[in-house]
Amino acid sequence: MSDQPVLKIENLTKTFEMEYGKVFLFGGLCAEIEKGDFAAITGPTGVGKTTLINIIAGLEPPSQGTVTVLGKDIASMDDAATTQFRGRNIGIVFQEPRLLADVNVFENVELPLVIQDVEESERRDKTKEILDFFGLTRKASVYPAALSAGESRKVAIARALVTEPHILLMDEPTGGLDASTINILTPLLRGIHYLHKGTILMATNSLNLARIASREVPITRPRIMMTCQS
Amino acid sequence: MDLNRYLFTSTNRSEVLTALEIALSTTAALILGSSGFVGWFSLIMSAGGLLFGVFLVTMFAISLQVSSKEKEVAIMRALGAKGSTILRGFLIRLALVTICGCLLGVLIGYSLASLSAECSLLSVEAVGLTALFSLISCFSGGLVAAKRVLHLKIGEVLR
Repeated sequence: MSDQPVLKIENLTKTFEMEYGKVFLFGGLCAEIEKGDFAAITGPTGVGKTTLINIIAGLEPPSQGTVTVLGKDIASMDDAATTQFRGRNIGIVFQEPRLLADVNVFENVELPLVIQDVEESERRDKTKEILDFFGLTRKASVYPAALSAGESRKVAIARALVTEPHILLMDEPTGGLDASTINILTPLLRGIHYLHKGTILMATNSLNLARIASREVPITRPRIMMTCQS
Repeated sequence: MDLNRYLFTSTNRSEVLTALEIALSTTAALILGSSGFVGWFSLIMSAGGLLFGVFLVTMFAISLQVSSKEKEVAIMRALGAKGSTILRGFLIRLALVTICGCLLGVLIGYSLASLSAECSLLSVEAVGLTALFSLISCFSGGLVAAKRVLHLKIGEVLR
């Protein structure tokens, strides 16, 4: 396990059937991410960065190739095993913050620990600690609708990190944010890598943001095979 | 694991309406079932039709509820919650709605049937059977709809 890469992508392709034909994403992508790496998945909009994040997280199956996360082929596991594996080892920050609207910030951040059946006192301590790290303690009882875009992102990142996952997947963590919020979040992401010590994989089309990563996984443009109309 | 408080934070208006619909159908089935003025065949057909109606109503209501909670379910599943755990939450909620609706229907139906001279077949067995069939119809209708949470395409919902 210690010699293995945390994430190994071999010959990965994802195919989508469209009205006009087939779209082939990734073109047989191969990549290896070692423990502690901070990798940026880069490429313009529409190349499949979100799809790649979803495949690594086991939320979508690949069409061809294998994705091995912490030594396990994620596509070969059944749904219950994938869900359990994801909950224990992978933290996900979606493109949108995807917070639960009917519960407050504290409960949103606490949710992964509730799912993992962590004891209540430990749950509360961990949640308080991470809210404190992100400077969100005063917002703990606030509902997501009352948060700014930057604060919502911070809550989403805190929620992904509260279980101390081996891998943190972030999909466009600064996407759709204004410049001043990006300026606040960027050093925070760098700080997370320093403190988290786990592996971080971040999908971004921002070159500035990709620069804070220690390595880059570029994705090539999709190949489109048009269907002949008779 | 108490995930229900994340999924169901307040009483849903559609749940109240579903319970009332179940109560109404159970009441109608009980009155019809205990009436002596129709033949046995038409009686069974009418009461059966009402209970099949309640099956469809519950299925539709729970289907709507699952659709309205699709994002929350997908987020929880993405964060590691098992589909079966979430399904259990929906089923507990469904059981509450079904039991409340059936009890209310039996109470109203029994009261009305007792007052009516036409309901000559009213008996404990008739009440019990109506309540049992009503419960089975509602719960099976809800179960068919609630099982959708197991097959949710999380990646697509969260895009």
